[in-house]
Parts: sequence; structure tokens; C-alpha cells
Amino acid sequence: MKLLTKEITIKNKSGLHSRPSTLLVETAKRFSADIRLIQDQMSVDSKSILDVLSLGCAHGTRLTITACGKDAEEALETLAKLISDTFGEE
Amino acid sequence: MNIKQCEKTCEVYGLKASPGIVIGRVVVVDNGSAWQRIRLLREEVPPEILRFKVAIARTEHQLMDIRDQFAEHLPDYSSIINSHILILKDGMISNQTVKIMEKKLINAEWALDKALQAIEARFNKLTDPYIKERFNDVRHVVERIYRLLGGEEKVEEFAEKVILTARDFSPEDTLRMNRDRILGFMTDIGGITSHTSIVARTLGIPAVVGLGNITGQVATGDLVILDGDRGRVFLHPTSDKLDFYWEYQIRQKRFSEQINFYAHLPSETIDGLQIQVKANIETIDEVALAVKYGAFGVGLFRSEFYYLGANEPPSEDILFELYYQLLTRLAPFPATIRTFDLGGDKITANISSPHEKNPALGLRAIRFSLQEVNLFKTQLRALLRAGFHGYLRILFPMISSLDELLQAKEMMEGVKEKLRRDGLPFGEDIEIGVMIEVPSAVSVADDLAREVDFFSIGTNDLIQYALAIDRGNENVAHMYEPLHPAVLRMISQVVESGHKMGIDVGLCGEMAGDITYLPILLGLGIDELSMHPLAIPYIKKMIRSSKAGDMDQLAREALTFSTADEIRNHLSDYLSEKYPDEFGSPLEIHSLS
Repeated sequence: MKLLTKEITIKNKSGLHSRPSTLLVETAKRFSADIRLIQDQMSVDSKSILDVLSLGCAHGTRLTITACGKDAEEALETLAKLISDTFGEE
Repeated sequence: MNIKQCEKTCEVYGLKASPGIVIGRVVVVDNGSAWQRIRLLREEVPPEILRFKVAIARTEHQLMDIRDQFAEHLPDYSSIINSHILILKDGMISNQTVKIMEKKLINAEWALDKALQAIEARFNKLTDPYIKERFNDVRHVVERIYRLLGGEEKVEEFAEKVILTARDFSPEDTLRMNRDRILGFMTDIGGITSHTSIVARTLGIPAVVGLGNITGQVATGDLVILDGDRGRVFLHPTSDKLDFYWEYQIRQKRFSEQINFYAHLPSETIDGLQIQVKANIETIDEVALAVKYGAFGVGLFRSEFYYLGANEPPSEDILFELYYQLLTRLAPFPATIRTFDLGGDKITANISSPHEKNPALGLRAIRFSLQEVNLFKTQLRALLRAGFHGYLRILFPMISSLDELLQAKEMMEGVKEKLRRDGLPFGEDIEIGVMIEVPSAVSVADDLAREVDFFSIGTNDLIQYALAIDRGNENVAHMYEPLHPAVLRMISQVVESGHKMGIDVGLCGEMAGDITYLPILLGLGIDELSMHPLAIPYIKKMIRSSKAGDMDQLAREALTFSTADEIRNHLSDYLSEKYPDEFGSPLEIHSLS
């Protein structure tokens, strides 16, 4: 199965802190695809809150999202939109 | 209760987690759990795993219960608990602990500790302090598992109101603190931005955190003074200190009870003059505060908050959602939204502003909006669309001439035309107003009045511009004088120009929330006052003991004086005669703006 990737920048003021991480993980869990976040040669599971938090993404961090599986395309788009809309924060 | 008599009196400093001063006896809670390291036989592992899984399931239930119990009152905290549930179920905790048990043949507590250490090692590598602090959330969740592994959780009952003391409390512990039994709490560790502190502030539980080793310094039964306003605790206080704080506490309590009673009474003078008392806010979250303190709507919503700090300006949809929320949460009361006052020194990260030598006199507010047309049109579109769903008034900041106002209005007509073509509904009868904060606007107020539905006087800027005083400049700050005859005459002129055209004149500077100025402002004919929500009950109380006729006369007299000192003396006599509650004794003067 094809591996899809997308580059994105974290725009929230305080980075991927609890609320956005929680939203991200909850959203990722809705998809069956394997979705990973890659930053600085570290690759983590987007469905694990501890993984996502321990990436320590501050404001301005560039991330690569990869997705592989049946609904990979939709998953990638949904997550990218969530991140670019700064999770509804200012 | 075991009352241990005074050791040495001392003061311990921590962090101000949540304000309020309380005096009471300490109960030290040992919510960190003691557990043992036990090696298991291979056949003992499966039942041990089951015990662990049951504890995880019960923890999840407990967290969900707490979430559902508080979801209605504190929806914002659901997300904290949801993140704790995700942490609980995270593979790095649940799966990892089971794996360690199987591999090392050890008990659940020990394996969980090893799993936690691995997570801690990962968080320790982080550099961002805010995200790093989230490890506290992991610890809180793990502590809860430990408690449930240990059997039933004890629910503490206390005979009198106590001050809880522990190494740490989780946000869920804090949510469940019974306000009838708990005066406040203090902890060894924790930070101001921790979720526990945030919950304490929301619930109004006084708290000091990060006291180091407070659990080692006090014993259950000790009497302490917890000062959440300054982030300190007095251990074994002297009787003088206790007397002082008792009295302080009683006075505060009496005044706040009395004052909150006024929050929801009509703001009407003895002789029947109605004054609109509204709130100044800048985030959606503050709507609740405004309503709680009895605001008759929002008189000033500073819309720039949602631009500042962002890399890019918010999209039309984000702004629409924001304004929609504001209007619907506030309904049926009106919200006055001021278009962004950006430029000068306030600007988003990606919109460059040329460095200005004198930003107060530079490209800001409406001037900036008329130059950054697209940014302005986006906001206007969002405002007009949201205006369809509530009672909206739009306020243009820093208007200094009729031309600027006409340009802004023309732009708004263009946006309306476009919305019609796009087939999007918008508010057709939204009221338009201007901020009167530049002296030139005062001079041409009669011309402006013909073009708008209301005025709002921004006294902070108006005083600075009129007196040429920068309040931030310590050499001249003392010359900033709200009672300067020029200021009073300007306010009077604006009111007169507005009333001649039949429009309301409001005032939204700090003066509006200061009880000292209330009789003069009302005497000058101000129809609406907008202020910090906390000042509203104080202002309402004053209004309700005022007489419009007396205030008219006071203002007329004040306008005849030629120095601020004369006005101040005259006002001061008036205040102590008419408002003995507020100005009778020096202790009761509260200025809250």
C-alpha cells in the first residue's frame, strides 16, 4: 500500500500542548490507517498521546505526517487541516 | 484532631496558584502511594495482569465519571480529563506495564514504575518548558492507577473546614474538592500553568503550590494562614498575625457578599435614571464572567486579541465562529465589537509594520485597517455574517476625521454588497459607532454624530492625546489627570453633540469602572459605562444610591472650575457626603478598573 506524506508547520502559540495533542490523537484514532508524525528523525505514532507530547513540538516546528492504509488520504487531509487551523485556537 | 502546639513561626513562599486568603487547620493527605517491589512466579503473572487491567478499567471509569459530573459546569475542563484518559490508555503505559510484568516477573506496581520512568526519560529530553510540564499530567494519571491498585479509595471526611496539604493534587482531585469542607490547598510541587492550578482558579479555591517540602513542615491539625494572593503560607502564626488576617478576611467577605448582591440589580438611580452598565472583554471565555457580575451586554470587545501572537491573521470562518459564539452566548444582551486596533506596536507575526518612532501617533487602528484593506474586509465580513445571529454593534477605533468614518462605512457597504451577491445572510440593522479618543474627533463630534448610531468615549487614549501625556513615561505620568478641566469639557461636548442627534454616548476607559468618577460622568450625561467585569457590582451599588438631579448639579459646578485641584476637592466633598459606604472610611475605598 502506498505511503502518503505531507509537510506541515505547527502554528499554535504554545505548540502541541495537551489540548491540541488530545484533539490530534482523538482525530487520528478515527482512521484505520497507520499515521505517523516525523520530526527531526524521530518518528512517532499519532494515535499515542505520550508519543505526540514527547515529540515536544513547539510553535513553528515543521513536521512530516505519513499515512498508510485504506483511508490514508482522508486521514492525511483531516489532520493537516486540523493542524493548519491551529486546532481552533488563536 | 491532633493539635500540635506552636513550633517556630515562619513564612514559606511558593507560587500563587489561585487567589484568596484562608485561615484554618491543616490536613496532610498522603495521596502518593506506598507500594512494594515483589518478584512473582511465572504462574502468578496472569492474575497480576488481570489485577492491573481491572485497575486501569476502574481508573478510566472514575475519570469519565468526574468528567461527566463537571462537563456541564466546566466544559473547558473536559478536555483536560479527556487527555488523561488518552494517557491512561496509551500503549506506553498499559501495554508496556504488562510487557514488563511478563518479561521481568514482577508485580504491577513495580512494572508501572518502570514504565513511568521510561516515559519520564523521554520528557526529560524536551526543551519546551510548557510541554515538558505535561509530564505532571502523566504522573497524576499514574498516581490514580496506584491508588486503585491499592484497593478502595478513601473518601476523606472532615469535621471542620480544612486546608488540604499534599505533595501534589491532580486536576481531578481538585475538581472533586468539596467547597463546604475545604478552605484551600497547598502542595510541595506544581506550577502556575499546571492544570491543577487552572482548575483551582476556575473553582475559586485559594491555593499555593510549589512550596518545596511543605508536607514535611506541617502536621495535621496545625493552624496556618494560606495567602493565595501572594503565594505564601504562614506556619504557626503569632496571635497578632492571626488577628490581623481574621479581621481582613471578615472585612473582605462582608464586602464581597454585599457587593455581589448588587451585581444583578437594575442599574438605576434613586430618581429613576437608567444607566447601561456593560463589560470590557477581549476573549470569548470572559463572557461568563461578564454575565456573572451583572453586565448588561459587552460594551467593548477588543477584537485584536485573536490576531496578536498568531502567525497569520485568523480566517473569516474562524472570526465568524468567534463572533457567533460571543453574540449567542450573550443574547439577548448586545455586544459591541471594536474592529481590530492593530498596528503601532501591536501586530501579528507575519504582517510587517515599519518600525515607527512614535507608534501612538502612527499607523494603527482604523488607519491601519483602511490601508490593510483585505484584512479589514475579512473582519467586516465575519462581523456582518455573525450579526445575523444576535445583537451586534460595530465600533471603529481611533477615528480622527469624518473622512475616515465615511471611508470605513463605504468599505462596509461594499462588503454587504458582496455578501448579497454571495447569497450569505447578514445583519441588516447592525448599529455602527465610533470611538471618541482623538481630540480632533471631539471637535467634529457633531458631524460624526450624523453618521453613526452611537459614540463610545475611550478616555485612556483621549486623556493621553489631549494632555500630551504618555502614561508609560515616569517623568510625566503624574500629570495624567482624568479630572483636568479640558477632559471634562471634552466629555461634555461629545455628550452634547451625540444627544443633539439623538444617539447614545458611552464611555469605556478606566474612568468608567472607577467609583470616584461615577457621579461626574453621569452628571455630564453619559448613557452607558463599560468596564472590567469585576468593577460592575461596585458601580451598580453606587448608581443605586445616586440621584440624577444631584449629579447634574455636581457636573455643572465642576465645569465652572479652571483647575483639576478645585474639581478634585469639590468632588471629594461630594463623595464623602453622598456615599458614606464607599467614601466614609478610608478602608472601604475600592478602585477596580
